Amino acid sequence: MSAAPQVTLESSDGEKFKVDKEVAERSVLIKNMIEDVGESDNPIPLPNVNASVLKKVLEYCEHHRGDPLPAADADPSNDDNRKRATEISDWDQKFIQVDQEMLFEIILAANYMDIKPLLDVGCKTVANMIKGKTPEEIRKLFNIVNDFTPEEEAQIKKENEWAEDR
Amino acid sequence: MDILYQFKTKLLETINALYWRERPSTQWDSRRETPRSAGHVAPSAFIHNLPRELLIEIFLSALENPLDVHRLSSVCKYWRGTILNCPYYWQVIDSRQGKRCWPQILRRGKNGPLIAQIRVCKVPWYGTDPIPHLIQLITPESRRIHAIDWTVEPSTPYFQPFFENVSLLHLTKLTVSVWPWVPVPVPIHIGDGVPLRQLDLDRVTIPWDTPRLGGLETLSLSNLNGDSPTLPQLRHILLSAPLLRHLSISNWRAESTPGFWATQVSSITLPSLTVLEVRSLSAIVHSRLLSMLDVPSLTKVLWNCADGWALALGPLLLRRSAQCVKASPEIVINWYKKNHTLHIRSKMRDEWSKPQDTIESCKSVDLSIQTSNGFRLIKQVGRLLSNTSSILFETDSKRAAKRVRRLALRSNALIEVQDFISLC
Repeated sequence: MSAAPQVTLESSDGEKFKVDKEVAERSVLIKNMIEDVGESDNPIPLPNVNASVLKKVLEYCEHHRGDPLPAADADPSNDDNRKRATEISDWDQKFIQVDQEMLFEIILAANYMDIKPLLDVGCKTVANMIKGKTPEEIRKLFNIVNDFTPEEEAQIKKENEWAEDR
Repeated sequence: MDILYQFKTKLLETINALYWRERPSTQWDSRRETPRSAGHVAPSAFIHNLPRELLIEIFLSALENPLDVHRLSSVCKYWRGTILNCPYYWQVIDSRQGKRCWPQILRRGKNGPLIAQIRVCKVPWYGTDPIPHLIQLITPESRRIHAIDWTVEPSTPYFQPFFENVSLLHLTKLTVSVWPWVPVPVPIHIGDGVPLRQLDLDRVTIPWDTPRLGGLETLSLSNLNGDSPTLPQLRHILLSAPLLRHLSISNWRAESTPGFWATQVSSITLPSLTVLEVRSLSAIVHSRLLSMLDVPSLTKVLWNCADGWALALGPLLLRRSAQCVKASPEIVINWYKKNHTLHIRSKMRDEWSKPQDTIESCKSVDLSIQTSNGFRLIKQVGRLLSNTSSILFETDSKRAAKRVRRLALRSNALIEVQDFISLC
């Protein structure tokens, strides 16, 4: 039995990762590059993903290697899709339990490498963190500075009162 | 060879760079290009490393009700700018929002699609009903209206005139329910325009011959009696909607529609229909509806049958549900003598013990029959079950439990019987 074809990925900090082609091709970016250039022993450079993030991303791709690829025509504005969009599997939840810096790096890497399911998991996780929180709680959670002037704050407060005024 | 190797390496780097550059709006570095005033965000807010497009996606997933946009837009200037400049957040105008918000929502939504959600306002607001004011605001924007979800008291004077006077050319999703109960469905006009994709009517009737029903994907009709639609009209609607995936009919008094008894309706095939829900129809309507439908792609059935007549129709119902029953690896059957209810349902995917993250299409059946004699139906079910099926039978009848245990001995299926009487 012949071994599964492999590719080498090179992170921005020069670390090389040899992975099964099937795993690497969870990334549409890499899949397209392999298709365009053909199979090669040379490492595929990923100048925007450092080794620690790439390791996490590959862990995700390895776990989901056999999953069906997401439909390109799924309508995100559909209510059902949106509802489904807030559900995260147990494994994915554990996988994404990382510090905020790593969480956002994973989201950016998934966006860059075009791994839609991972991007969805990251975005849903952040969305779930936001849900039900007051603006002040959100600021505290993400370390965001309240940069509104007192006048702007007063105006926003008034608008929000309008919204809840029945 | 060295030259060739260098050339390939260079080529890979160039292709990588091109991929990166071709998609600037969703790429890593676009976050650095995103215009943002200095000082608006804390440098250590990692969330602001995300490009604006991703922040928009996150906000969309985080919205649980229309008021949430106001909450999110109060966090900081960057979030506020993102939300105010994205019309998508402002596409829902809801009667439950404060009326002083409505002009803002219409303005911020620019010329994007509009979803109008209108609810019965039981407590008048400052002594007046706000809905006429909302109607006045959205009428000039009628070309933007793509969806209406309206719950209305039938006596309100603006309800029917709205549909008569407003041109809803781009309406694709219409949900209207009249509340409270009315003896005859309220007629509304939907005029000309693009085909509807979703129609959900409760105690409301429309002109059933409109060509706007040709693109239906979801059709739900509830509490219809009087003269609409007739069985042939329903057949015509279903025939003209080849994309129909979900059909739900409940409490439809078709037997009182003209020509019901005289008309012979031939069978129709609905190739795309995957979900069928039928509730509270009289025996004869149920029977004629069932015999009219051929549904080869059905994956989910929900029957809810009226009392007293199911014994005759039971086998027919089961035959129609057979493909779902056969495809369900695990079935739960409840037979409660106390309330004469036989309930058969396949267990939902997340309810049962399987390796985590296993994804497979779940065929399901949810069949509820009221009958004084469930045993004959149980036998029918027994014939449908395949070797791999496992059945959990729950009952409050010792006699039923005994019989099913006997059935289990003859069946290849794994049957577990829970007799609640003996458990007690």
